[in-house]
Amino acid sequence: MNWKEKEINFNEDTTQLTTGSKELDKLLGGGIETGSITEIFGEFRTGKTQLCHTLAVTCQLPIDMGGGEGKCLYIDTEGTFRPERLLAVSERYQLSGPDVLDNVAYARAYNTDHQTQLLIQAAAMMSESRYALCIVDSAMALYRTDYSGRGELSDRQRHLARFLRMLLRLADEFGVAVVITNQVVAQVDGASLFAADPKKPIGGNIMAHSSTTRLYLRKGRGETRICKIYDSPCLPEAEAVFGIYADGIKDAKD
Amino acid sequence: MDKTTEEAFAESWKIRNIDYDTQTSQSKVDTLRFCLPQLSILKETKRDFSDMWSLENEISVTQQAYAHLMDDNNRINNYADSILSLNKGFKNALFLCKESKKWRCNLTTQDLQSVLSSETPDDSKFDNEYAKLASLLRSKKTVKNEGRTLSNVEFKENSEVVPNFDILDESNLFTGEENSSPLLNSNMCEAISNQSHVREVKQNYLFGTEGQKEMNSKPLLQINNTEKPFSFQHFQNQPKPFNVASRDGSQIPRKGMDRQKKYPWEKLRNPVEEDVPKCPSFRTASHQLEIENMKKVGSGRGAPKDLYGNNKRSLGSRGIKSRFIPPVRKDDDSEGASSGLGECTSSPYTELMTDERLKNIDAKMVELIMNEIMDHGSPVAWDDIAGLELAKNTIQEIVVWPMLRPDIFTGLRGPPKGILLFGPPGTGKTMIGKCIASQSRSTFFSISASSLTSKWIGEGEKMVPCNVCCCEDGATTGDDDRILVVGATNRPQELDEAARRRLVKRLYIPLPDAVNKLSEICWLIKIHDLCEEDIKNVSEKADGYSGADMANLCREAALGPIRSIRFTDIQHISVDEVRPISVKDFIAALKAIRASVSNQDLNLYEEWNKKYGINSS
Repeated sequence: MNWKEKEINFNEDTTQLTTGSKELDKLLGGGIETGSITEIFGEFRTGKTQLCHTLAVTCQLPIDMGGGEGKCLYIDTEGTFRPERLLAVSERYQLSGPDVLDNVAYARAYNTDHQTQLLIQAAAMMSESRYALCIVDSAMALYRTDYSGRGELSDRQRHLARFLRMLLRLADEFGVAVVITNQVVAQVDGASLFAADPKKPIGGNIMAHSSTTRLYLRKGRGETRICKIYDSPCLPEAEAVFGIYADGIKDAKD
Repeated sequence: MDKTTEEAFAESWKIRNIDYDTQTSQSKVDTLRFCLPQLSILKETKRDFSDMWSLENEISVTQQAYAHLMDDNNRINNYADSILSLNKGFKNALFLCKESKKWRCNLTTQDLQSVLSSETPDDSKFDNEYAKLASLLRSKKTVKNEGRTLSNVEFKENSEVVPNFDILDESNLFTGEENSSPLLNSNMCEAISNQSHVREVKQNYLFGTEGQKEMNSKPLLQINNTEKPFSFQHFQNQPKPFNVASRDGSQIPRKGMDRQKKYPWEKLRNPVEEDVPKCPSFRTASHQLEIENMKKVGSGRGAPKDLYGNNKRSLGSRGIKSRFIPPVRKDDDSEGASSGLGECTSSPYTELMTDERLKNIDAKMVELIMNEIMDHGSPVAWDDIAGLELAKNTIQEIVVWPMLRPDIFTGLRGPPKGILLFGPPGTGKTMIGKCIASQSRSTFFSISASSLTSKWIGEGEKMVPCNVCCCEDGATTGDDDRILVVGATNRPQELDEAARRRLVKRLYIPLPDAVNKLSEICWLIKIHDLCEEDIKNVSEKADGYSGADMANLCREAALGPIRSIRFTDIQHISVDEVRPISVKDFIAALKAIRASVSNQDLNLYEEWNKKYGINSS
């Protein structure tokens, strides 16, 4: 069975949320998969947060337009959430701005425990109304600072595993798409000097195993960004180019 | 059970299911402790519950899980280590432990019963419960004539156990709780196997059976069996889901009127909000936007709105718990749905964008070009252009005829793709462009350099005053689009080679010669008293004047007669009384209006024409 056939079979029982860029959707086999965890990582200014903002709007679109017809839950750990951006994106899809904003539940997490605890609230809210997407931007930022050094590494990883497990349960139970962003770390030891791109996602093996699909973003020329499938159960390793514009993620112009 | 409590139960059940596996055993126990009384209340209240069997099954499974957790000495009840470490400093710690063995509570059954009976009359709402319990107790007493002295050991660790038992009595809340005693394992199995014996079990627990007595008589503070006293203490310190009165009785008044109606989980209706009231939690993005705006504006009191309560909301905006509402615009429902993912363009040329050929072109560019189309204005005939016979002939040959008869002009005879009109300013290049368009019945649009972006012309050439006139044939049926690019420029020497190559026919539009000037004057000035000679003189004197200069000259001259009229008369002079234009006016005008093109510039054009022009002799 080749990739195409697999994709088709796979698409039958899951919905995909469009990212706003046709190229990126094609790469992802239709968009962000619901019912699983998609991790987006990359350096700063590679479009992680912008992708999240666009998804927060597209998940509210009708299903035949690539949306999920559901609300969006946004957990923000870095303080980068900007409702104005949602308005700009909703303008592009000719959606009513206030309604779009009302359909986004936003929470700012201040520490790792709070971040985990928000998921419990999230579960309660998801049981009440229809949610299509849960975004955690970024999942690792607080872990990076709440725990330091090797001594606390195992604690951190245990806590993180618990958090990710809860996320996965949300995805399973409510069928929402879970999108988490992740930061990168530079490999500075000698061996990696020769590697072309010595950036690695943080969170170690726990993170790697928990996320179903991992996407690596890097900066292209100008406003273009390149997305690479880093790990996926069904998608071939490939790249796509998209652009960040005033009204969200789009195909790169010319 | 009313609807709200059912919902609350469903919610907490969901929470239990969500992260149960990842919890520590401590929180697992709490969850189970929370679920068990709910289940039994459900069972009690829903007599007609169709799926009674599965409910009972669920209860027994939960109880088993609970018992398993509680029995495991290494987990939930393993307090020995921490106690020992606390006691490390004391030399006589072991001695104390031994001492505690001998400690006895002086509370007796009679005391307990008197406590119970003294409380009963006060608690009027619990009459039913107490009556039930009392009858049960009594019947039990009579049927089984066992020793019912309350086990001293039960109470010796904690003299405040009584309130706990009181709770036990009130309802079946503690059907699970009773299992917290590892001593009751045997009874617990019984309870699981037969739910109807729950009360009996409780009774046994209260009054102690013979077997239990034996077990209870074991020293409880032995290291291996330290769980009991501490587990009790633990229960009291835990934030309980039940309406348990804490030691200071601050939590819930025990004697509230609506007590009986309160379900144990009502406290936990919104568990998170109750438990962590200080923690900021979810709000809608629009609310967030409001807050951000307030921060930006810096409205007097720094406190954002949400501090005063989330319930107060502006009209129209929905709360965080509202259901999903499709964010479709109300005013143009159908349009919003049909336009789909189509990009939003506010231009009136949206229908143009559906044209397949234009799909790759930026919408803004289309709008720009459409705005530049000059289909308005009066049509220009060839006769309107004075002079320039050579240019007119050439253009007619290479432009107008092929446009009119495209079938003849094919192949090698095909028309050139581009024409460059160059020459000093004001010699009629734009006029010729318009004329071409109107005579060949095609769309004419003129794009000036200022409306073009640097995409089209190189950065350095942005400043070149260059008029590009494009004539597009409206017909789309032809094999190839018949587009003629007519470029008009005053600075041909600054065109780059590529542009020069594309504009194949390069026509020099020179300054008008004397004859042309003469005919122009004649054409412009209708009423005059000039003889042929005068006009000839004027046109010869106007050497180096361009067509535009000539028009200005005539305008200036035409003002001459008006200027001779006195200011006071100008209001009531009739048109006929204005004297015709005379030679004097022209002579005056020639002084006022100077040629705008210098000979030096002209030479440049001539040179360029010799190099590249088609009509260089």
